Amino acid sequence: MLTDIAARLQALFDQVHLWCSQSAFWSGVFAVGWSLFKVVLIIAFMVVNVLVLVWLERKVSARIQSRLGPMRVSRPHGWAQSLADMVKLLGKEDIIPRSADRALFVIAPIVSFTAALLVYVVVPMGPSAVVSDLNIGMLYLAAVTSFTVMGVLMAGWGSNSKWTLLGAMRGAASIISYEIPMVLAVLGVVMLAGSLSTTAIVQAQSGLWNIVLQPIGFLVFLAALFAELNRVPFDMAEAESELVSGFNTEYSGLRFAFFFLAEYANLVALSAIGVTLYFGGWQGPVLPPLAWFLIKTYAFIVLVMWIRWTLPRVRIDQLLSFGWKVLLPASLVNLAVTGIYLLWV
Amino acid sequence: MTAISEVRPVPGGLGEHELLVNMGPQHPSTHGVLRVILRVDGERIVEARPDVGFLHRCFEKVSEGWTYPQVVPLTDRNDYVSAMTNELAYVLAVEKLLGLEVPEKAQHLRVLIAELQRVASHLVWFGTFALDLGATTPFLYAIREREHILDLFEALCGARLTYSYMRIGGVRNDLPPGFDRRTREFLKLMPSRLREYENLFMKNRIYELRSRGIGRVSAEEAVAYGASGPTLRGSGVDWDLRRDEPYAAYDRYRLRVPLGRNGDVYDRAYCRFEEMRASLDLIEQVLESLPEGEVRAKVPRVIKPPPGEVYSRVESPRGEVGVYLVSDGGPNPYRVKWRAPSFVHLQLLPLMAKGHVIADMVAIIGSIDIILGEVDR
Amino acid sequence: MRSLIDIVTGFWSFVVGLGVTLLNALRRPVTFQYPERYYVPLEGFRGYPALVVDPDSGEVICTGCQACARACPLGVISMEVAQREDKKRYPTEWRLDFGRCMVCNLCVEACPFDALRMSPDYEVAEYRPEDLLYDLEHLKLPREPIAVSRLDGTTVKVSFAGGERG
Ligand code: SF4
Ligand code: SF4
Repeated sequence: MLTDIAARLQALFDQVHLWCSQSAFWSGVFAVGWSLFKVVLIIAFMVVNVLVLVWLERKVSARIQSRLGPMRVSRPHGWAQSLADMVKLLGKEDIIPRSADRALFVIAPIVSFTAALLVYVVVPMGPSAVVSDLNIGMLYLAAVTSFTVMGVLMAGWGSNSKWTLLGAMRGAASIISYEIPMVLAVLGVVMLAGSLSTTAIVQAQSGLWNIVLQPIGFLVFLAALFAELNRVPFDMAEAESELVSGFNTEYSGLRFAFFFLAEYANLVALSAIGVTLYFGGWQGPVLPPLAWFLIKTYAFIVLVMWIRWTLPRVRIDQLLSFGWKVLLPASLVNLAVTGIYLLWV
Repeated sequence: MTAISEVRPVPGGLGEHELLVNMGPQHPSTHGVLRVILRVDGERIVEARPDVGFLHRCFEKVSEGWTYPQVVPLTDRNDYVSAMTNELAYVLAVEKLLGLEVPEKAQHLRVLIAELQRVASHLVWFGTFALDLGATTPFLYAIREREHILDLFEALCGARLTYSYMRIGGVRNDLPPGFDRRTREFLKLMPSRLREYENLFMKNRIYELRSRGIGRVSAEEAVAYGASGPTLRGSGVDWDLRRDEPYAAYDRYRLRVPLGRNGDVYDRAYCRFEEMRASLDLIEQVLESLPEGEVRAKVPRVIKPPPGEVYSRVESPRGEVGVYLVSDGGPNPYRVKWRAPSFVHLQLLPLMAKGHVIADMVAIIGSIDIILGEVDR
Repeated sequence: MRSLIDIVTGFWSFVVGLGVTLLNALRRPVTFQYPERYYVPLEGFRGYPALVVDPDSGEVICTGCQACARACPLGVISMEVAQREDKKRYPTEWRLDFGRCMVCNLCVEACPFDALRMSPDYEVAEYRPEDLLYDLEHLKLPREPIAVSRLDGTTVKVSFAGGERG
């Protein structure tokens, strides 16, 4: 039944494609339309995932903390809670502080959101299910993830409030200094795969997952991931109990929702990258690749949440010294060991 | 219009790279409505000035208009996290003024209840302290365990926060049926839970990094500033009113007083945490040797103490709660002065905070465990 | 070397912490959904001061002696008293400004006739402050026993009517 529909869609797609390729103009339209379709698909995938994740996070934290978590909105277990929250946020008054830098204030959430979106381009969800199999996938990733910091900085500066500024400065410092160990850790994986393309990296792990070969690299990646995602123990930019709410203190309603969306979209994206790099991506027996991909990604996300709800927050200077004095050397050692390993094998 | 600075002065003369940050009164980690004016250089604190009074409710003045027994429920509202200790401080003062003999059993009950209250209060402290340092989960665990004590108190006196249980001349009523058993169950449960807290938070490396060497106060400074309770003992001064100036029936029991050494956030937190263990131990002792008898002495309906004045103090979970009571022979106190440990400790804040960063500020405020209801009264 | 040990022990402390949270995640949640599952207050819970009624006549046994009103620190109790033919006094109106009451129990203790007791009812939220002005009818305790729980976990029905304490 399902394969039937898929086959028909495929046939339809082929026909349209064929028809369009007859003239230069229509093939252009087709290319644009097809890209737009992909973009919409990504956004849909992301939003759905975020909604599930927000709910999941609340459930996981509730379970850890001996609570029930959201239960009211729809049965079972209040699964529609994040939908309701979304609707609530959409209905909120849009407040822009009088002293804020309007342009920056308005753009910041969009920048954050877009940065999160861009990562999805290279996440391989199946053998051919990747938006664009760039042969410089990992490089692209390293470039794009740093975009997040722009949104944070713009929001912090644009709000024109002291707490947001402090949050933004912290966020920028932590994200930038954790970018380097992260890239270095990822480099180990790239060396093993011999390619920067994410698909190739997944295929290189068909035998053994990289987590076995690169335990140190994985830990460095995990630590950097927390800084990149602004999560406890490294949630410098938000630091609820210190900076009120950090860089997004002044935001409310729809704009706040964008930050929220971006935060969780980043979580999915980076977890997906983590799975791709260290847990064999979409590979797995019996189940279809997409299922494996989702299962692994969600398992990874639960791990991230579990850590988040266990640890206290470090201080910004400790965070930085940890990044430069521990993670960086560790990732370099990892790199060297990987090189030696490759020479020998 | 008066400029705001005239009403609530802010420090002038900002340095070139300095910024004035208003921490509070609506800040998540100032435990209520404390406002701290911070002069920061980047994130480093150059000067911290606590500004109190946002929760002022004229406690002392209101007391003057009420009769002696009527003030008891009012004292609950001072330090609402450990209401029982406040009541105890007040009724002890009135009894001292009256020269009243309190039945033996009531004295022991007071110790029992005060120690349960101390554990409950320290649990709240532990939770919020962890929360301040970014760990959300210990808070929920601490509140979960505190619920056992609140259940006990609810059965004991019908309320979960503002108990109105101590009475001049004793306590309101005897222990309800099942109290003993539930308390023993709690005593059995708690040590393992405390170990869990330790594993989760108190032994966590991040926590140690965040707390060691932060907000240091030397023993001399602590004494000079009039610190008391765990804040004093964290600096290594061995002083506990329960042992050194026993009231109620404390002189009948052995008490372990945990001490710190460095007077930093870590040591203060350690003292509080260990005090929970010491209190549990004490509760067990009281349960073992609870005498029989009356719980409330006969007092006249209208209490009119002879003219005079007394100062009476107890060791609350936060430090020394002192009540200075003046009577003019009438049915109302002529003057009630409340010495609140949180207020005194808040004066140490500028000293502790200097040179640390904003994130440490939060840890420091958490470590001295202030209750704004008590600070502002 | 020392810093290496430091890193390893630090990492281990995180693992231990994760173990604690995992352990607790496997425990049953302690919270429950309130309106679906009613929280039965413990016996002796102080909801608000209420008037005990005679189980036979359904009338309050208060004699209008004003002792409670005098004992109340806030003066939130007021009443109007009339006299029956047999010289017995009874309140025609009995008001409690519950919005200001601090549920301190002093009025209950002051009553010489045990005509005032704390109702275990805690569902007292109202939309308007005026609704917290309770009158005689509102303050009458029910004649039927009310369910309260005990520390041993059992739930019992306790009568709040009549002079005797349940
Ligand atoms: S409970 Fe206290 S405040 Fe309320 S009416 Fe009785 S005496 Fe007054
Ligand atoms: S003290 Fe008792 S009997 Fe007297 S008025 Fe109050 S409720 Fe009625």
